[in-house]
Amino acid sequence: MKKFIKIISAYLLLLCLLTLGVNAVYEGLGLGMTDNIQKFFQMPAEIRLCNFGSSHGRDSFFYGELEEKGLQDYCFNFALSSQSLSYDARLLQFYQERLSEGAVVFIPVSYFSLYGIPENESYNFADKNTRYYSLLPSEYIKECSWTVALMVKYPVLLAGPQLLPRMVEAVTEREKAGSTAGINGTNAQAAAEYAGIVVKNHLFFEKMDDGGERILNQEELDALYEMIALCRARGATPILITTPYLAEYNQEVGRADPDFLESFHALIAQVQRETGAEYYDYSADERFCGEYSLFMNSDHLNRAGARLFTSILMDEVVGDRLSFS
Amino acid sequence: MLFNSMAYAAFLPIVFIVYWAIPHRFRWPVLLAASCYFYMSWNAKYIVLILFTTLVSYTAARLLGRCGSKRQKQWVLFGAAALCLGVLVIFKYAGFLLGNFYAALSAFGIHPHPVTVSLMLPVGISFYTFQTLSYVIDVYRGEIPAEKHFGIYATFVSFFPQLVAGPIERTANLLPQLRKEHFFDADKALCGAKRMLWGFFKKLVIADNLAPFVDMVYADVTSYYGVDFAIVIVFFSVQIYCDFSGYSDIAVGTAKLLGIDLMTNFKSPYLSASIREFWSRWHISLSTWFRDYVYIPLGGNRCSGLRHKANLLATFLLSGLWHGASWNFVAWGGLHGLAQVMQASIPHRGGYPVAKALSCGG
Amino acid sequence: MFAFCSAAWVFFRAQTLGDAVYVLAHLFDGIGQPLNYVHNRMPLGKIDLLTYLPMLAVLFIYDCFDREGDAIEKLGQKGKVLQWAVWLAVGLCTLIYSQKGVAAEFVYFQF
Repeated sequence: MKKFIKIISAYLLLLCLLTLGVNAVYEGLGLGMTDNIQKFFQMPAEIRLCNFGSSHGRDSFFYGELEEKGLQDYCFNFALSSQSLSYDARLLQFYQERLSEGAVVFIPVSYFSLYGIPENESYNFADKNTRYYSLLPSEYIKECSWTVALMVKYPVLLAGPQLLPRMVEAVTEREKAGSTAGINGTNAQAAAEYAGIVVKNHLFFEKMDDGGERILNQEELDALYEMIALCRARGATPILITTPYLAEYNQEVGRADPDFLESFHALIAQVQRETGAEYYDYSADERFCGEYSLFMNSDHLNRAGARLFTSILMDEVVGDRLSFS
Repeated sequence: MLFNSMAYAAFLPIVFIVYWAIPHRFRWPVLLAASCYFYMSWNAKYIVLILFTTLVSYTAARLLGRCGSKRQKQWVLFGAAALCLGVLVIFKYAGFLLGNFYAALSAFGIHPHPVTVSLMLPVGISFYTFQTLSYVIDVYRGEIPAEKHFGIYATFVSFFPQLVAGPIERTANLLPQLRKEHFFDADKALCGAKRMLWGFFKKLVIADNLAPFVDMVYADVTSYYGVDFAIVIVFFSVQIYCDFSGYSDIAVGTAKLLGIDLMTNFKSPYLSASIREFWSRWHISLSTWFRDYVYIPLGGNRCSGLRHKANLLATFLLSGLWHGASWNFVAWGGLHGLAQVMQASIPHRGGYPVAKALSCGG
Repeated sequence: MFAFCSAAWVFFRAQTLGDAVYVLAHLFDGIGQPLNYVHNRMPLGKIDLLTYLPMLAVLFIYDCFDREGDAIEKLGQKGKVLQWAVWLAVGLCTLIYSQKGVAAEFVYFQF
C-alpha cells in the first residue's frame, strides 16, 4: 500500500510541476490574456468619461483622439464582447470610486440587452464568465467557483483543443482574429448577409420561451436601473444610448419581427419615465446608416466609425458637462 | 455522479481508503453503501426501482431452488422476467410504444385522444435489468446456485463502477469476487489507476473534443453537405467508441483499485476483419448477453439456414431497440443484423483467434 | 469494416431517420471538384489537424497494441522512464484538453 501511495503522490506532484511548466510557456507566449482584458489593468484612477456595453459598446467608443487633449487620460471603455448589463452593473459597482463628480457614463442598450433567458443559463456563460475572475473579486462574480478561479490563474488549463493551434499562431506571429475594432469597412451585400444571420441571434436565440413569446430579462432590466442609481449616487450622469447600425440591420430586424422596435422603444421610454435618465438613439442616424466605410459589419462600427461617433457624442451629448475646474 | 466530476474525485479516494482500511467482512456493506450513494446522487427516488428489481430477482432465484417441477420453475422465471422487464419497458419504451400505437391507429382512421407519457429514464436501468435477468436465467439453468446472502447480492446488482453503463457483469464472474477476501496488491491497483487514466483520456480528450462538431452538424443536417458529413461520420465513430470504452475503462480501473476484476468490454473493435469479429470486440458484455440469452435460446445456428438468419436478424433488431426507444436504433440494429446475415451466407473456414468470439455462424 | 460501422452509426446518431438518410445521400456531394469538396463549413481549420490527428493516431496505436493481449500491461513491461513519460503525457493532455465547465454526460447514459 505504501508503494502505491508513494507512486501516486509522486505522479501527481510531477503532473502539477509539468502543468506549471507548460502554463509558464503558454503565458510567456502572451496567450494567457483573452478578450481584451488587458485594458482593465491600465484603467485611470479618475474617470470622467466612460462607457459600458457589449461589443457594440466596445467598438463604438474610441477615446484615443479626443479634441480635448488630456481628457483621454480620464476616459475608459468598460465594454467587452457579449457583456451583459448585469455585469456592466457589477463592474460599475466595483470601480465606482474612480468616477469623479460630474462624470459622464454612457450605458449602451442594444436590441438584445433587455431580453432573453438569464445570463447564467446561456450556452456560453461558463466561458464568458471566466474573464471576470481577473477583473472582479469573488462576490461580484456569478456562480463563482474555486475550480474556475484555479483555471484562470493557470490559463493553460482552459486552453482545451485550442492549445497547439494558439501556440503555433503565437510563435509564427500570425494575425490573430482580433476582437479589437477592425479597420476595414464593409459593403451592402456583406452587411445584409451578416444582418440576416446576426439578427436571428439577437432577437430569437435564447430570447424566446416555449410559447414563442420574447422573454423580458428582469435581471438585466434591474441592472439598468441599478446603474442609473449608482451613477447618480456618485454625482455622475448616466446616459442611455443605442449605438449606430447600418440600415440593413434595422431592415432585417423589421423583417424578422415587425413589432420589435416599437416594444423595444416603449421599454426604454418606460425606463426614462421612471428614472428621468437621458436616452439618445443613434440606431438609425443618417450619418451612419448608409456609410459602409464606417462599419465592420451590419452593427459594429470600425475604428473610423468609432472616431466619428465619439466626436459626434462629444459635441451633441457631452457638450459642456465636463468643464474642468 | 459522473465519473468526470469533482464529486467523483472526492468520492473515490474515500471509498478506496475505507474499503482497504476495514476488515473483509465489512467490505460489502461499504461497497453497497457507496453504490447507493453513487446512484442516489443522480436521482434519489429511483433507488426504489433498483431495489424492486433486486428483490424480485433475489426472491425468484431462491424460489427456483425450492421448485419441484420444471413447470413451476418456468412460471417463476417468467414472473421474474415479466416484472423486471416490465419496469424497463414502462420507463423506457412506454412513450415509444404509445406513439407507435397511435400512429398505427390513425393509419386506420381512428384518432383517439392521445395520452402522452414522458417518464424520466432512470439511469442505468437497461444495464442492471439485464444483469439481474442474467442472474435469474443462470440460476434457472442450474449453472449457478442461488445467492442466499441478500446484502452481497444487492452489492452485485448495484456495484457502482459498472452500475450505470459499465460492463454487464455475469454472476459467475462478479459474485464470487464480492465474497472473496482481497489483499491489497500494489501492482493490480496501479494497473487499475492506469486504466482509469486511459479511460479519462479517451473520454475527456478525444470524445468530448470531437463532440461539438458532431453535434453541430447533426443538429442542422441540411446546412451541411459533402466533406462535413465525411468528417463528422468519422468523428462520431471515434467519439462513441472513446466515450463508451472510456467509461468501461474507468469502471474496470476503479474495480481493480478495489481488487475486483470486471470483464473486458471493448477490444480494438474497429480493427476487426469482419462484422462477426466486430461484435466479439464491441460492447462484449452486451453482445454475449444477447448471444447467451436470446440468440441461443432461439436456436442460434443449430437451425435451418433461414431460421438461423432470422435468429440473427431478430437478435440484432432487439439489440438495437435496447439502445433506445426509437426507430433509429432499431434501424441501426437491423443494419448490423443484415450484415451478419450476409456474412453468415458466405461459407468460411476456421474460427477467429479472439477468445470470446460471438459464434453466430457455422 | 470501419466504413460500414461508421455508416451504421449515422442511423444511431441522427435525430430522425430522415436526417440519417440525408447525411448518407449527400455524403459525396461535390466530390467532382476535389478542392471545393475539401472545404468545410465547420470551424475546423487546417491548423486544427494538429490537435485532432494526433488524437486519432494515439487511439489507433493503442488499439493496435491492444488487439491481442493488453496494451497497458505491455507498456508495463517496458522501461520505467518510458512508462512515466507516457503516463505523465497522458495525464497532462487530459488536464489541458478536457473541456472544463461542463461535465459532459457519457453518450451511453441515454440507456
